[in-house]
Amino acid sequence: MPNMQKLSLFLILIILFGCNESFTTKPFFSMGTLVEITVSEKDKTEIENIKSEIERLSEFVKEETNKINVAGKNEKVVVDKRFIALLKKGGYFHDISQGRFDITIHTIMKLYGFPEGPYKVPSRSTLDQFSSYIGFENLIINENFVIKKSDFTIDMGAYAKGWIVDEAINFMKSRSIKNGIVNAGGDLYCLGDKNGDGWKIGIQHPDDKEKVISVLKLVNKAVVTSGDYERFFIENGKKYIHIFDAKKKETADNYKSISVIADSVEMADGLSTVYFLLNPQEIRSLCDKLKTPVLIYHLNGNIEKLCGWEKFEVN
Amino acid sequence: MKSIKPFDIIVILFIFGITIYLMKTENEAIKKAYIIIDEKKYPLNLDQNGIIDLKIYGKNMKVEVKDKKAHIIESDCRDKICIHMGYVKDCGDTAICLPNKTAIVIECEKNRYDGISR
Amino acid sequence: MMAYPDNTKIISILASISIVLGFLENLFPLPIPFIRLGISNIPIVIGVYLIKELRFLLLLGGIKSLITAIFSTGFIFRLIIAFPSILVAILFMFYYHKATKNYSSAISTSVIGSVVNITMQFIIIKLVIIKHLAFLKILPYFILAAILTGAIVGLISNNILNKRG
Repeated sequence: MPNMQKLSLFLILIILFGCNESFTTKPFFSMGTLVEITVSEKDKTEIENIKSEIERLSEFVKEETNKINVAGKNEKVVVDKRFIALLKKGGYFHDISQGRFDITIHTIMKLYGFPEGPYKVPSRSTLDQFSSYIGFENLIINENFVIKKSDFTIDMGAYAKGWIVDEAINFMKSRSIKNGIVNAGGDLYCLGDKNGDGWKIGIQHPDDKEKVISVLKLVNKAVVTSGDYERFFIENGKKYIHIFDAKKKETADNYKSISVIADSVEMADGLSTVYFLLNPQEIRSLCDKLKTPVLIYHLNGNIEKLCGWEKFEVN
Repeated sequence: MKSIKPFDIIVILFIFGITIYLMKTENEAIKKAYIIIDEKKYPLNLDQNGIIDLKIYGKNMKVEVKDKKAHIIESDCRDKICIHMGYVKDCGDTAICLPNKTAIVIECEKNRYDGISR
Repeated sequence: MMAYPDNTKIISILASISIVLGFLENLFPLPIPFIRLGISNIPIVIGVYLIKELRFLLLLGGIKSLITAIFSTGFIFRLIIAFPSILVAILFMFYYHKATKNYSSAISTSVIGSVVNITMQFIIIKLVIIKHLAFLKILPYFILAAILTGAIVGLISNNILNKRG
């Protein structure tokens, strides 16, 4: 009978340590950021396919965007149906932000040098001229083509990256990958779980990247953070960040950072920018309605957790 | 009437030892630093202070290692974001230079987080 | 079949003492949650020394955990956690005692039972109840506490066993 003793000890050891799958992470550059894909050791061979899927989608968004940006006034621009859906999503974010979020704001953001630099503050007269072109209502969206009613340019950087990550996740699901993370420069989706446990995600401190302000456990959820600290410049004492209010037609340095948890990265991505443009009361009522937990890091360093953020936190 | 016998001490010390060992290994993750250049990972030794010129990899950049920390000190990219990113020293830290497709990262055997949202 | 009436007597006495001790202990909770001295386990440890047949010993543990669970809030919850844990703990104690009879006392037997018990509880909670919570990390601290409480329980059991003769 002593064998029985050994056997039960062995079984307990297996339960404790045996069933843990190990994961591997591969970094690469795409969509203008560092993308990291985490999958289990057995799905490692799929990373290349996921990567080329992301690159294909990234190229697709770039090309379709460019078609619209180079087109003239009142010209019929035929674009892919999937891109129409993406544009309509921009309309949705435009509506819920009462017009503060607008993909046509790119018209004046590019004058400042966003997103790549070099940065400068454009002259008043240039700004006035280009400001008159802005307005999502000037973009007529049809079933498979769009028409520009004024000479604006668009940029969907605020949520197209999220859409691409979502598509990459769908691709992974189609390859029967059950667990993993796609992290595109901090916009990430946690697919499935990690050995029965949620994925442990840190939200970076806006002023000290060695610290985190919140730790989450996520399963099949997306989290995205928008901050005023990654792309910005300071001129004459004023800070110009990469988030613009389309109503005021100027930079919106309202918060240090805003993080959003949602069911898709596209939603979390767009909302993190939308919330950035709203005041705390408006954020509260909107996140309540959309059921998307929010973490606000205020300019004075206060942290505010809304709409059930705490439910996803650990320690 | 002797109550404590040899196996009592052996067993208790054995369980105690294993527990302490498990606690220790849990806390000591092994740090590994890498330079990522065009999707290739090159190990970076943080114990050896000095300046590494990335010219041999075709990048006009310099990385300095000092006191188990690393940072990018020179780069020909326009925005210089990577230089502002400062030192990397803890698990999951990164300093990224997008235009040059180069980054320095610290990874750990047991990463503190599976991902960082920033 | 002489052993049969004898064992049932011992089981019923030990089980009832254990259940009463368990209730007494619940009346005076310790400041640290989840950690109890485990005086209700004294009769179980004594049982390991008095009962020579494993099935009767498992019966003792089963009765104890079942009745304690019935009279406490969260019956199913407690039963799922306590029932298998105590049986596995008894299994370990029984074979440990059998293998090292002349070189060990109730102290280490009790420590083994206590450590196995808490580990099993953690595993069950992890597997069945709270999957998305990484709390296996705190297990070592509970094991350290279990060594201490197990040793105290073992010491008491040992004294009682020695007085018996």
